[in-house]
Amino acid sequence: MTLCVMPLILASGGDVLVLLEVRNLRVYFKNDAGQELRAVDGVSFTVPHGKTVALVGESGCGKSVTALAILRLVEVNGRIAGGEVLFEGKNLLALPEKEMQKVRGKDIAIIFQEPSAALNPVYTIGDQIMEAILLHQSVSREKARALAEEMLHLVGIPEPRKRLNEYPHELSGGMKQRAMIAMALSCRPKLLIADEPTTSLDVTIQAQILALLRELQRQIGMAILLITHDLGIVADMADEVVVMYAGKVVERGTKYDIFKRCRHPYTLGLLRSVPRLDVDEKVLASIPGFVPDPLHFPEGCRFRGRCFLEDEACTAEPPEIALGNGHVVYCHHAALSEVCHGER
Amino acid sequence: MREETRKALRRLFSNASGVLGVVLLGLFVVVALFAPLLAPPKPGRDPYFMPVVTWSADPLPPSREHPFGVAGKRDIFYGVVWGTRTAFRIGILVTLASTAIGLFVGSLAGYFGRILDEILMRVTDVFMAIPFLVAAMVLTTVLGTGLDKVMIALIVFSWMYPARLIRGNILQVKEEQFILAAKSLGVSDTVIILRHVLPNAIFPVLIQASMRMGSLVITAAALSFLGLGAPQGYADWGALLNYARNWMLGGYGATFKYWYMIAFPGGAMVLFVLAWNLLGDALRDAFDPRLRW
Amino acid sequence: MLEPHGDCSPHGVSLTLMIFYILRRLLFLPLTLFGISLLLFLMIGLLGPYQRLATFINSPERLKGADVDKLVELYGLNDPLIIQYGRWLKNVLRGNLGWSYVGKEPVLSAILKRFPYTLELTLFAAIPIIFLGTSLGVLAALNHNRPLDHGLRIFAVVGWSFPDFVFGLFVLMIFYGTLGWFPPGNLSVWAEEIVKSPYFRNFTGMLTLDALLNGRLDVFLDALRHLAGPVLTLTYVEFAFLLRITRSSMLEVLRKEYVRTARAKGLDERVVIHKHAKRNALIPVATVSGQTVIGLLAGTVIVETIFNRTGLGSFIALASQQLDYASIMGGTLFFGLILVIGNLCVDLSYALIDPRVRLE
Repeated sequence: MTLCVMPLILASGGDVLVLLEVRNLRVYFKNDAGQELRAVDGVSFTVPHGKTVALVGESGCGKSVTALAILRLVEVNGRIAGGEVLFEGKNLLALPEKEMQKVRGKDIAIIFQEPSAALNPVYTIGDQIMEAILLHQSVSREKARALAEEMLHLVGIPEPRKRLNEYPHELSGGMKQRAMIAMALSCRPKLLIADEPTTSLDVTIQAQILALLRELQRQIGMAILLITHDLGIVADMADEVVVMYAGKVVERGTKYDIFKRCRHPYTLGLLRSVPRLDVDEKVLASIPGFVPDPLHFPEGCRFRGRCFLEDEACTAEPPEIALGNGHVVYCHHAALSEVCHGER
Repeated sequence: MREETRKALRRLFSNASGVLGVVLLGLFVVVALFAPLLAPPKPGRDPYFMPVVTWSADPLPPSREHPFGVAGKRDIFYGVVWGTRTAFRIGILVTLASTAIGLFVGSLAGYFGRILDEILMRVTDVFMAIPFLVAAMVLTTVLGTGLDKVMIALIVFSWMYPARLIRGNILQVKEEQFILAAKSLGVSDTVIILRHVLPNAIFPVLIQASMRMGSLVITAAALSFLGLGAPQGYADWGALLNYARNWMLGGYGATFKYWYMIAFPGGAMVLFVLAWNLLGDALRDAFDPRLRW
Repeated sequence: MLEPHGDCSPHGVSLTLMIFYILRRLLFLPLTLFGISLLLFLMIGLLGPYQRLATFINSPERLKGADVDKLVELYGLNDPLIIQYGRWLKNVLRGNLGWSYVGKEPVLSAILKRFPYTLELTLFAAIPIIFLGTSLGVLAALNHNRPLDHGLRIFAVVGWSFPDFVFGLFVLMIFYGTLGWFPPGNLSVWAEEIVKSPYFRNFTGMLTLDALLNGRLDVFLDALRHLAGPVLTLTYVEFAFLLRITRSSMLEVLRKEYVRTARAKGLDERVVIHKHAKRNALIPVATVSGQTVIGLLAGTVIVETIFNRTGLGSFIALASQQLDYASIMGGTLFFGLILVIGNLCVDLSYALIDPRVRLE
């Protein structure tokens, strides 16, 4: 089914079937020495309405930059060098800044990894949430305050009215993250980008926050783009998965496709490197080699030098292979039988 | 340690303002060293005292024989050249002495902590509570005129800054693991201070010393300007500017023709302090680029 | 010391903690003042008893023909220093600071008469210093590494390298001697007459304020004109430090994540900068501003001297030149007092500005 729908999607400017479509996004940075860092180099994926898409990869693979680029927040020190970001059919990258400001916080919201750093220390929680509300909705201050309180209640913060007048440093880590979620969702966005939302939290709080996000997704009907490096969270939350490596997508598909029928050697490596309690592993599995220096990516496939399937063909740019049902892999050897069938 | 120093030196010299600072300073060093050649003193007299070159009390504009003009009956060029030596003397001696005292006091306070630290810090507070210039004024008034008295006064009221700095750094370094390791191996306190703590804490002190150099010379000159420092006729930039003071109050229309009285000694002062400030900034950038301003 | 803590705590700064902190600082205050007085006394103690005699004599006439040795004995100037210190301290606490040779009146009244002029100058200089320093610092940070930034930094470093007396002389030479705009002194002769007359009521001792309160706009403008030169001098020499601190602080804040969050909410860049970034960046600047203003007091010594103004600064300068030890001691003690109290106020206000402050 996907194979027939795809040409339709490619033909038109965008399709409302899909909430967000990232096409060939390129984001480049310049370091102090003036060299160009291709942090995101041709990334494409989609986020359907109301679903959760996980963007997975190691640190430095470009997943956070991708997330920021969607909201055009990288333009302060980087540049978007190419591609399109289609939100409900409109290319966000072509919007004038004023229009983009209307999208931020309202249609697309983002929450960050470190709530301590992401909340302004000199304004109260109430002020910061109300600011978002007053910006995008024409309501009175009193109404905004009531809405803010409602949001705090919705995210499970006890005594919300009292919390409105507290400063970020007066809240614990978990509560700060909840407050940030409240702020982000205050205008009922259609898409929530969550950049490693639980990485800096305790494991028990992690579970609570994830449950909260799932619940809110159900209530508001929003889509979530979840950036993470934790496969456990992916297994828990995601409907679809996009695997990134060294600035490029190496594989994407449904959760089942990725976990049970992955085709890219890197994905396999990732899955294998998660330690298991039920298997007696003498040596922890890891992918041999190191992530390449962003200034000197190898020619062709960037996974070269670490891949057990590598041959001369890999010096060329890997092709996009569609495997059906939205499962896509970027590898010369994808035609081979499933790399990880039966695994896990 | 060596690799870091090399990298830091490279950073120092790649910084334009740092290079400018070093060059300016170099110029001043040359002038100071070659003072006897540039402005030959009258034989048999103390070269630090500017010779009287004219009978008239009025200032004279620059001319062939007096390239910077004449003020207070003395040759300004001579005063500026030998004043460079004075500036270096004061700056270096006072900085060395106050840094040495400061290091000693600060190390004691920082390393031994507790009551000693509290007492020493209160003492430091008291010394710092009086504005630098005013304190120096009081002490020079009491001790009398003379450059050595000025230097004593400056030392007495500037040791606190390196003391505080080194104390703060020691407090930080003290908590580091490698100090605990050395202690657990039985290394004595003095050795720890000298070999482990001080080398790590020394760089900010050097940077601060270079920044203080400028303000020290300014204060010393201010004292001379007020007539409290160097004796009459001593080659000191501040003393030269003192001559200018009365002529600037000469009234509307009368002052611009005496521009040379301010321009040359004043210019020397500004460039000297600027050189030290630029050097200090560049040093700071070199050793910790995060603090770059 | 007050230091901001970024980590979280379930409860905020309680009022009792704040009160305890204030009390502790107030407790240390007399200790510091005590220390200052001791230090000063020890310095003066370096003088011989005959020189110190002058600090006790109320009028020079009484010295004429007197037996100085007897007087030294009478005033106990040969007693152990501790006893002398105790006596002197007692006097100070009673308000007797000795006789001012320079002012021809008791030291305390000489100081109190002149202090308002210095205060006026300091306040008038504080405004442009703080305003220029912070706004130019923000401007430099927003134009990081571009020509405007470099230009401002050079301008600032040069100002900072200028000794105040050099720049003051320049200002005097150009703005008074050549252009005739900013004359030295506190007032023109005609304005002086008005102020001295019985019709002019002295409310505060500050010329500008008093002129306004007396409804004399002409005197007010004249006083302003005389303030311009010294204010210009103090401003150029002192604003550089504030510019530097503001710029660093702003640059650091602009890199913070909450600035990114503000943008992510859809706020206009101007709002992000002025409401979110600046508010945080100016926190450390506030304390530095306070300290700078207090530091200005010392700067008035030179500036008042150059511009021939009446004030505490020129008073101390004159006293030093004339070896009037009583005036020097009293004036310096007063300066020390202002400095310590001022710094305390600045420190305490920091707790009000930064909600993160955790009192140790």
